[in-house]
Amino acid sequence: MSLAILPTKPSAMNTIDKTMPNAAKLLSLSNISYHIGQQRILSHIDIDIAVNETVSLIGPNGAGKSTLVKLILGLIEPTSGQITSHQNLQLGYVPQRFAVPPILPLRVCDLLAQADKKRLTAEQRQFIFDNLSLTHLLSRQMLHLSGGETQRVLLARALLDKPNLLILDEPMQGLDPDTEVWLYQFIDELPEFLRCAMLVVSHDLHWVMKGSRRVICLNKHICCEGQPSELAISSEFQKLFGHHYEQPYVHQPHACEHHAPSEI
Amino acid sequence: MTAWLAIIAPAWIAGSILALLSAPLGCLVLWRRMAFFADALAHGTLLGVALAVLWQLPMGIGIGIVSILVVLGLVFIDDERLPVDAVLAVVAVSLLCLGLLTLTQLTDQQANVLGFLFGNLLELDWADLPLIAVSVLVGLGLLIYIWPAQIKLATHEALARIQGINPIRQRLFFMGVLAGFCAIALQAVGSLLISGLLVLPALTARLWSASPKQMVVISLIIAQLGVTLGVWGSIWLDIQTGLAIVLVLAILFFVALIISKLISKKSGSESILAKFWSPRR
Repeated sequence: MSLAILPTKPSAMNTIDKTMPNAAKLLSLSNISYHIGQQRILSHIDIDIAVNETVSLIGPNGAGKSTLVKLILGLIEPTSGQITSHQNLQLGYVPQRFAVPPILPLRVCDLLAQADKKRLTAEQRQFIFDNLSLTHLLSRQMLHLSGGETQRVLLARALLDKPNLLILDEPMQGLDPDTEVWLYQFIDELPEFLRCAMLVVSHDLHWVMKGSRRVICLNKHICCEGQPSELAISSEFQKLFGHHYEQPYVHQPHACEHHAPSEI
Repeated sequence: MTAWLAIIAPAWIAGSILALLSAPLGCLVLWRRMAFFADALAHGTLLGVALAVLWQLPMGIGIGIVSILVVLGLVFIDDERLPVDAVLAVVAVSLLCLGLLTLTQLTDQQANVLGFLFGNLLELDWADLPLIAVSVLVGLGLLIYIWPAQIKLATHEALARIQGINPIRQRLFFMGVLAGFCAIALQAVGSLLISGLLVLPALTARLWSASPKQMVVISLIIAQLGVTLGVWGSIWLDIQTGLAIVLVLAILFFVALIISKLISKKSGSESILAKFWSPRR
């Protein structure tokens, strides 16, 4: 896998949000830290997400990606810092793992009925069913769906709530490449009535690094963020993901504060 | 037969009313994985009754006090090294010991102990029915009120929470309904068999249902069948009513289980039941 690298000055990074007007902002995380006991999971996270913006979140295992998602979803409270929503936030969430307890008989239509029915018109709902090929699945048991089918149902479930922030946590885990391409295409080309801000947690550097979506690279703190082209030449990005690219690896031990002992 | 009918009619009607609440509640108990908790609460009712007799309080208050103590005790015991099911089993047997001890040593209810353990529906008369009916109606009302949130929580807690459902409040609400049910079911099936009345119809229904609604409807039918056959059976065999009801429910469960296994073997992997029992799960 190789990537076209544009000669952008590193100083141009991290400046994108500073100029963002308040009105276009959807959600701001300011100086968020999250600790469990003495263990630092996340420190000093500042993120602004704009209306209808797609942000991809990458980072190695244990980087705190899922914790950050839980913080934004309001499932856990930050140890310090503040999360401000600038508009009435309607969250949609496609979880990384989803298993219905076997004792609960649940058809696809039963799960989809748990979404708020009043937010979309009948035609809009039908659009989602058609484009995610759900119509023939509606009477199937959730338990008997394959991984790809489950992901489609969960995406539909999230979209039926008509979110203005959709969070996808590793949505393509365990999917075959065809389904993956198809699903990514679907979320890249959402119709106007479903347009929303998206935060996509992904391991898939290929998808993350193509296009012009803002990328946030997380490793217990925000290592770097910016356009894919700017990111690829960042030294911290290189350190975390360099082995996936044909870029020479340059070791810079002091570039990242979190390579110091992580105890407080 | 008609002579018998006059004697057992109140018991039969009371049992049927009770089954209206026990069936949907039992489904929720299974979906929310609260079967062990229900068992602990049910065993606690014995201590509740014992304390109520001892302090000359209404039985409902005694059972209410013990239920609150059980919840507080569980919050106190909560320790990640100890598995929850084992802790609940310990709580259940402890409550049973305390209840029996109080009932036999500190009160004059020795003669009724068997009734408290296995239920004595036939002692009911017409005057008891309004209270049971009103309690069941209140319970059903509460259940309908919390139902959508409970199903969402059973499906996926995080998805339910981002829709604004408060899981702790929902759990407490549900525990309250459960404790109330235990208090009224004590008379019917007794402390030891309450969890059987709750869980068996729902478990049997799971074998034959494809949606939550189907499971509730089927478990309602099975619970009614169990009560009716149980009440008549208890007269016929001259045994405790609660014993007879739960025995019938257990027989229905095993018959349903065997039939569903036979069907799934015959019809291959296409059957829903076959998938239900496939090793993948």
